[in-house]
Amino acid sequence: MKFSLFYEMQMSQPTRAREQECFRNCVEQVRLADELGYWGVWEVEHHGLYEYSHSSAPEIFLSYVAALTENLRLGHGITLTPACYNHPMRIAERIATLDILSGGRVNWGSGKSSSLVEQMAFEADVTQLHEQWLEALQIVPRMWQEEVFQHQGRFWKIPPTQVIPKPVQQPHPPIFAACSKPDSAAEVGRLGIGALNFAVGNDEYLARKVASYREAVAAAQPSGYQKTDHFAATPSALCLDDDHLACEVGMRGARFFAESLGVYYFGGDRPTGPLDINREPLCPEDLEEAMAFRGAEDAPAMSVVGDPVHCKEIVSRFAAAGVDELILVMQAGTVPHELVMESIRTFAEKVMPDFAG
Amino acid sequence: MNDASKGMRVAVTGASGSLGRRVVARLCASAEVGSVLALDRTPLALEHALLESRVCDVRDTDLAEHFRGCDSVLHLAFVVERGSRDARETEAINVGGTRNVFEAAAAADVGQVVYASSVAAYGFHADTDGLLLDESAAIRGNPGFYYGEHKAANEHWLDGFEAEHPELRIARLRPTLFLGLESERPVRRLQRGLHFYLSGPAPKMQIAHQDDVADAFVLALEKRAGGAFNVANDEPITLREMGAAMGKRSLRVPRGLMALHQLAWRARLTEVDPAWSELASGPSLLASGEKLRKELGWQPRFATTGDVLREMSRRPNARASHAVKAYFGPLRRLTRLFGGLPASRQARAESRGMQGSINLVFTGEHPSLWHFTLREGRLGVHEGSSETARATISMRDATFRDMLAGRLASSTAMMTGKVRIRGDGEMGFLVGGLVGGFGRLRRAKGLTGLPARRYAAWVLREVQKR
Repeated sequence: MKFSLFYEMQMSQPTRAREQECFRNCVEQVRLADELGYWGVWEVEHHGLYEYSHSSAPEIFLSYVAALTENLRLGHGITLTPACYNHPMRIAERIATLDILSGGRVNWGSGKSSSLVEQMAFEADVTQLHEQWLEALQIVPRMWQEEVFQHQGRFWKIPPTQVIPKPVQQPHPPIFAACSKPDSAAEVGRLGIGALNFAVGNDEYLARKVASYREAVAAAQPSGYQKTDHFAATPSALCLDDDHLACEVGMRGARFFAESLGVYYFGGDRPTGPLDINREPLCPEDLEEAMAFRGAEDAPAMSVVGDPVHCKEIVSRFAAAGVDELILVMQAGTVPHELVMESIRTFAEKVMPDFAG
Repeated sequence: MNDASKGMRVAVTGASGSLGRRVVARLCASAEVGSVLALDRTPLALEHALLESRVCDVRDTDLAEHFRGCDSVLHLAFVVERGSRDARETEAINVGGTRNVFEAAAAADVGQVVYASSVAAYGFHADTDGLLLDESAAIRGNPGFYYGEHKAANEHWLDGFEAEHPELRIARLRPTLFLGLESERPVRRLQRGLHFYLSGPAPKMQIAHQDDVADAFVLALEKRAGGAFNVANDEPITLREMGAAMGKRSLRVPRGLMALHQLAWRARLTEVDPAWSELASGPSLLASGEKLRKELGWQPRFATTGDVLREMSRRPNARASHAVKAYFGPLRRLTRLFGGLPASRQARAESRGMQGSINLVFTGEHPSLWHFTLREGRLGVHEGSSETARATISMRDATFRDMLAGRLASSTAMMTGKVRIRGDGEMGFLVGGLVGGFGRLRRAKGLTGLPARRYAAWVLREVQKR
């Protein structure tokens, strides 16, 4: 199994100084992950989701860390492909440039955005997001491969053009897509691309989902790009030698993550200013209950939180479900930088070796 | 041909009907049964390792092909409410279809047929008014009442057929009226606050529970019974007495209104043939279930008509807490009026691609069962559970009240296991949505937000009562 880190660039009640510090901290965390042998880093693209995600220019962050790392895969998790956010040609150019400068280390994930906050800021037509995503998915890989590219589509019409530069990876960087809805893993599988699964469920459900993805991807015959068969899950995570501390901090972070996501995705309002959510640690009774619930049979496999023993157990549940990669969400709003660093180290030293190869 | 150790192979006609579904489910659970072949014109929406479903018609000429290899056939297919079907087609299914089923069973060397006849085969007659009929009573359906005529014609024809086929064991079960929870229209009527009855003479009636009737069919099969058996429970009551049996106020409806039913039927405004409601004014037709109890050991769970009526009139969520009723009651009513709850542009955009239903189970001292349907971005709220739900969310009633009152965050409830989700984990969004949506109603602004604020304030008062 492969292990990577996931970055929203999340912060609780940011000031300008803390925002700058957070970016520098994330760079430091990613460098450590590179040294310790993590497979990759995945960087989101969101716009205006205050506190939840300050990662609005992932291509800049990834270029910066590309220069500071040796082996880490650099993932866009994901690039927003509808027309209002990024023109497909700009995407193809940026990804190819990063692929050259990083020596062929780019993973390209794509998606369509699902928070109305960013959709409205960019005047997106929500009824066309899906179709625009599909069309961009067809043309970006062709731009990487064809010497002279031209396209007459529903959303984009491009006369014969030499789209340059070309990426290092052959035939092109691997392609992934976000899936957050119940049925989208199978849909992504049918397209023959890797699945970045942001969804949760218990073991049995996850196993079924992986199986439906595998079946679809096996049958897929994409034209215009090479097939990627890869299923990644994105649990919140914090691994420390002290189980209690890991849970106290990790579950507080996971709750911040879940509630801030809820505000932007299921809130219905257009919030400004600090979010109306829980930022405090769980009260002692709740924490104890949540710690005990981790091992329950019908507990959703959504957080890899605890000491290395607990983390191994949870990771093995993901492995049993057939997941190829765990993209660990350690950087959550309320989790201090020092503990994220310690967690990256502890997980690499005491959990990863059990799942090598 | 059949390996006895594997149990009987049973074919069921009319398997997708309300009785058929119950019978099939019970057969699949029977120790004597090795496999079940469900036959109907609409495929049976049920999955079981022992079950195979095929689409066919009792009038099909190749019916014997389906029966080949079967030890028994349960023949339940029959037109009960003929709706807009013409009389000839109804007869072709009820009478022609039944003959076809028996002939095909004989041709396929099936050992046993259990046939769903009816007490209507005896007919409603002045000279037997109020008598408790046993199985030796004369078969003479009421002319003009297609259902009874068809049942009687089949019984007469069967007498001859049975004599010609001594190798075939034939059981004729003659149930009284019966009701199950799927009998939507009459059950909804029973669940109303008021009970209506017609003025004038009031015959006594027997109503059995559908599950008990299904049991009788399975018993007849398991015991390889032959001959006729009434399926009837005790203590018949009149329409007029039903209200009292259910603990409801009763209201008399003038008999003259029956004419309206006739008119509505002719204008095709109602699916219910007035022939049925006319039974409510003629002589009583009562049957004794003694033989079935004694010979086959039938033990109905609902021994009297009153028991059945009380069970049917009980709302499924009668024990729900006031808070839960206050929250979901109006949403359910909105769903029934408009086919779903009003949805914002965002809600529709977000739920794109999400379809299906979600069960919500409240446990504890105030249990209740709800399900949500999600279609094209619109959420609907319904009572009871859905058999096809893609997720089941369960929590204690008190947990839900804590969340509404703001004492517990839905995220914490899920992390601690106070809220559990089986099936599609993503459907857990519903919990946050129910609680978050409630918060938004409380904060609704302006005059247009007044009903929302009023509703939220009322729910909150109910939440805080305990």
